[in-house]
Amino acid sequence: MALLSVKNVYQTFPLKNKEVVVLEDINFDVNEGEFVSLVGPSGCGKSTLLRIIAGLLKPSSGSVLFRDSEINDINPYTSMVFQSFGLLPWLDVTENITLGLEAKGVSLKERLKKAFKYIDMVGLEGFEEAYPRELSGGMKQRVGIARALIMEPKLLLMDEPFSALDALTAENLRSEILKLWESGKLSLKSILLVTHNIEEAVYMSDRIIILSAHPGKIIGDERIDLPRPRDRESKEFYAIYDKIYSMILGSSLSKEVNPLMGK
Amino acid sequence: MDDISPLPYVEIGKLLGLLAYLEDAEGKVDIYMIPDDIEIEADELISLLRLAQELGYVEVKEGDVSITSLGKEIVFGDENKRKILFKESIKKLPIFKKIINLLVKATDNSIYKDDLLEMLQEEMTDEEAEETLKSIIELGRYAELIGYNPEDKEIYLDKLEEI
Repeated sequence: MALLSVKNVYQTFPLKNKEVVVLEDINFDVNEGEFVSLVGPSGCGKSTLLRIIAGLLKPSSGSVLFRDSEINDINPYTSMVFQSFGLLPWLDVTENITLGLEAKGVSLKERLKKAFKYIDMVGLEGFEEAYPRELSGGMKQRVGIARALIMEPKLLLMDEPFSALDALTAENLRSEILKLWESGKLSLKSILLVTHNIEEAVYMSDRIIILSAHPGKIIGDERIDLPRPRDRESKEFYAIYDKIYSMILGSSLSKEVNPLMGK
Repeated sequence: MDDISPLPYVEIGKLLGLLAYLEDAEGKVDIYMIPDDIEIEADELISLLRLAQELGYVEVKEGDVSITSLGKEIVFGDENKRKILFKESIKKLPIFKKIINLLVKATDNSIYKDDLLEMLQEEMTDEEAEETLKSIIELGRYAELIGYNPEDKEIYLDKLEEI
């Protein structure tokens, strides 16, 4: 049984007096133990798709199933890491991380116990009482990750989590996430990462689902069996990168009419 | 406080990222190639390399940078191992030695941020003192050596028993 199934999902938005199709007939599964990336150019609807999976947005048609049960509200088995971190500036690190537990009515003692565990896991020890304004982008995103992990989701959704970071910080955080994922310390079963960065997807994932833009459609589903840590300089790495890059480029160049621009 | 040179502000995540980059590059990297390769300003790269060198994580020779075995241990270590190694390294820096010494003797092992800033300002320009203080807090927090409470504006020894 798949952990997550996306079935016949369409998403349309009204624009002036016509409907724009953002996602067209999206179908895929995520299995337990898989790290899956969704890649595609801007406008392919990948972040919209992630919001549909999280239950933050209802698809125009189609359905999202978690272990074969349909999700009709906020998906309780997922939590999300955002590109822009989404921290509350008036709360310190510990308070930001435990906010979701507080909303669920978890006792203070239990919240702090869990916070301690996840603060340790993501390397935030020492920063517990810091406020977001005191933190670098990388540290802010660690808070974002701990805040998602503390909810102990089965599926972690990550929406361009490294895009707002500088190259060095992003590189470090990517390798830390992979170390955590491979350590078996996490209770989560799978990760779904949205990114426009093909190299990042090839570096991190077990599988890459490739979307085209306008409308967002699945144009490829590639398995990556390279051992980790992956060598970006290797021939095998480059071959996969090149294949995915060509697919995205090909789908973008073959569009004669861009529906957003009209005919 | 004497013999204290200013510490440039260094984000810990960037320092760790630089080590990962050097490890990935397998051996020596020409220093002039780095800024383009990782989209970093030369000024910031110099600050990072200077600190990495002082901590014993990299060696710089004739324009080439290479990662040391200690640097590699940091790259491959898990988060807790990294912090333990990092704590040991920064404890050896003169500026941290002085501040630890100061905090050990202070009431409640803590001092006001502004008092420490004033002390630093006696040794360097105001701008350097502010940057140094910011770096001490960033690196000290990561190492779990020095804590800073932004409510009380107090800098304190994080785990006295381990000093």
